[in-house]
Amino acid sequence: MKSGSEKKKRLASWKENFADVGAQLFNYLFILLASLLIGAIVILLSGKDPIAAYVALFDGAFGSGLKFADTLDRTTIMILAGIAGSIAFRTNIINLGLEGQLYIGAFAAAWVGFTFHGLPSYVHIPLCILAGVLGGALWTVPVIYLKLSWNIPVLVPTLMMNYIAIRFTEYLIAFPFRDPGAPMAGSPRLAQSARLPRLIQGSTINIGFILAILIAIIAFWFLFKTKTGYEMRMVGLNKDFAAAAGIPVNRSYILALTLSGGTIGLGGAMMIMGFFGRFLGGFSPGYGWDGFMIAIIAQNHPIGVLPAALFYGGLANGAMAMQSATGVPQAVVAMVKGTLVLSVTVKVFIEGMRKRLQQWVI
Amino acid sequence: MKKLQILIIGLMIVTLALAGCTPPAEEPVVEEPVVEEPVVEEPEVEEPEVEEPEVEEPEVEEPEVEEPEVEEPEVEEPEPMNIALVPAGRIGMEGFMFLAGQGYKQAAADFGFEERVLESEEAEEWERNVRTVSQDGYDLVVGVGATMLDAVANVAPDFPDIMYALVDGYPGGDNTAGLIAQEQEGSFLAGALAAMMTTETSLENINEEKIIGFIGGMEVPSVVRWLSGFQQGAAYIDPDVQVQVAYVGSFRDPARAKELALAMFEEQGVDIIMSVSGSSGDVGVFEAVAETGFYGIGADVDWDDEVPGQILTSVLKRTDVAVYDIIARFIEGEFVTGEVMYGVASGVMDITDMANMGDAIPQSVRDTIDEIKEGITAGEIVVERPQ
Repeated sequence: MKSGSEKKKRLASWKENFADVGAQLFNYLFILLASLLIGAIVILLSGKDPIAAYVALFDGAFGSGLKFADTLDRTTIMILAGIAGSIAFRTNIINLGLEGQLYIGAFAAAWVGFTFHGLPSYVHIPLCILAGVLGGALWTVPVIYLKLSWNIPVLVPTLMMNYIAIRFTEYLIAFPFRDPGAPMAGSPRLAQSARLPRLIQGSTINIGFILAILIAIIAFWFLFKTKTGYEMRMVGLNKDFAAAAGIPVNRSYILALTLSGGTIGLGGAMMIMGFFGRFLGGFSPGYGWDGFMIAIIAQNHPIGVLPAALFYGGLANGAMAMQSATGVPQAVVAMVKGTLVLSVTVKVFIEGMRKRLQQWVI
Repeated sequence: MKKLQILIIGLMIVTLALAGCTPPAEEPVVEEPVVEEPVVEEPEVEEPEVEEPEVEEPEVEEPEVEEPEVEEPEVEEPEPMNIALVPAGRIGMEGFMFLAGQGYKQAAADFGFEERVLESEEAEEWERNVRTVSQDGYDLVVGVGATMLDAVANVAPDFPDIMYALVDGYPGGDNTAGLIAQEQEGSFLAGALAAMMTTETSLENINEEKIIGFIGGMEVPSVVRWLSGFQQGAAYIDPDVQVQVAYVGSFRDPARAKELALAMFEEQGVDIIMSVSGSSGDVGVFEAVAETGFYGIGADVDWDDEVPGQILTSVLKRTDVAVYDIIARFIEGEFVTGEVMYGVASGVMDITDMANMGDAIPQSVRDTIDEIKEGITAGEIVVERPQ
């Protein structure tokens, strides 16, 4: 089947790929170190020991089997948020509504979870997950309508839908679905059959983590190995060119928004079914927004989202340990994250400029 | 496609590795350090089950090794306990959290354990924090705030050897204690005081009508307890005293609270109002008190200086006393699980000494209040706790 020259070609392309990945990894390592260094300088300026702080941070995130497992559990939602961001960005859709889609997905999953009782787990869990995905996806429908009917850029409507979603779910648990026994405004508890099975006793890690990794692989396969995914990426790169080539632009937009909303809705379902066990008002500290950052760091690559999400999960889990052990405020962690995102953005920008320059020169 | 295959294989390996970790949690906990710490800290190993330190702990505690070595032969100090405080908020901010923090710090100083406070305002972090200190092998975890009921209830079953105490709520289970304040006992004193003072016409602005007022934030169980005690206390002095009740509808609405207070003072013949409408709502009520010259009673913390001479007293909820007490009980081996009630007898519920009012409150009234306090402490006066 394979001739010698073809083999050689393949080998060469592999080598090139590896060299490319290697260069990228080196770049990322450099950016990561630089971000940590800037964080260290700030810690130093505030009169604390940066090395002790980072040791405590690392220890809090990966210091024991259980802590590592908890870090992975925190990674679950980060992966899904990052992928939701990536899918939309790849199609050049700036879906600022991730946070709202997260809430709606979470509530839909919770509703199925606490309304139906007596179902076996293997029916109840998929039903809840389906509700979460549908909730997140359907919440984008008004945006799609505005976009397709009046060509309104999705930026503003997606953003506005966030507030509607957050207040709407707050209303739902304050009045129609309020559990009077809940210690704070919250829905009734989910039926046990709707809770995601935990993987390790003592940690919150559950099968949601495995599901998230599967979703990452599927997203990669979908975006890079299928025709529809290719079309979406083409639309993202240049919609006029794509339209001229006969690619259905509108269909790509619809897919990008619903898939993005569905993925983050799944994330919301995972939070409720895996962690909280009931819907709580304002439960998300901004996972939707983290999703953008993770997508940016991963340069919208679903597989790249995995390490970026792990990094975010580790920082989240280690921040409290760092604060309680060394007195360095958690805000430092937010700064390291911010620096990292900024550096990646600048790196991408510079690379783009260099390519353009090269094109001009040659 | 090959790349994809390699990736999938890689992920499968990761998944398998994870699945390999699945068996009972004891494994990671029991690892090497078990040998290290007891040897260093305490020659006579008394309670092997308590020592489940994490890997990082020996590092932190090693510098301290010199101290115990010097002290131990002389004083025979018991092995230091690991006790953490996990408030559902920040202990530097709200009065209630602040007091809990004070109690914890006092206990740390008195019993010689290292302070570890994990504060957060995010619901998710509360449970994560409780879990973190549990994974670190702490002996007692003290949570503060009814809002973290779920957090403790979710973690406690995973760590049956660790004890949990929660201020203001009982999470259930065999290894948790709920520190429940008997708010009604404290407000009983306030109700009795208000009932006596509402006819004390020698005081400026006090009218003859036997009407007093109560403004609550929202009709939630804790506020209902405050109200019930207030009503019972008033009825104990004089069954004819009427208590006007109003709810703000929020714990953060000083404007509405003030409006309600003004309406009570100016239209309903009320001359004394007790306010349990959240710290910002209380400020609104006391603004009305200051403007109209009528009288108020504060709750939770000491409000007496807010409008000197017009706040009759404040019913204190001494969370610090409760937190200190449960830690002391734990260290002395007298920890009990289940609901632990803290009322006037324990000193958790109390009222201020009314020093700001001076002679305006007659000695006979003060004596009666003291008698009631003794009566409640001795169990002669039973204040009913509404459910």
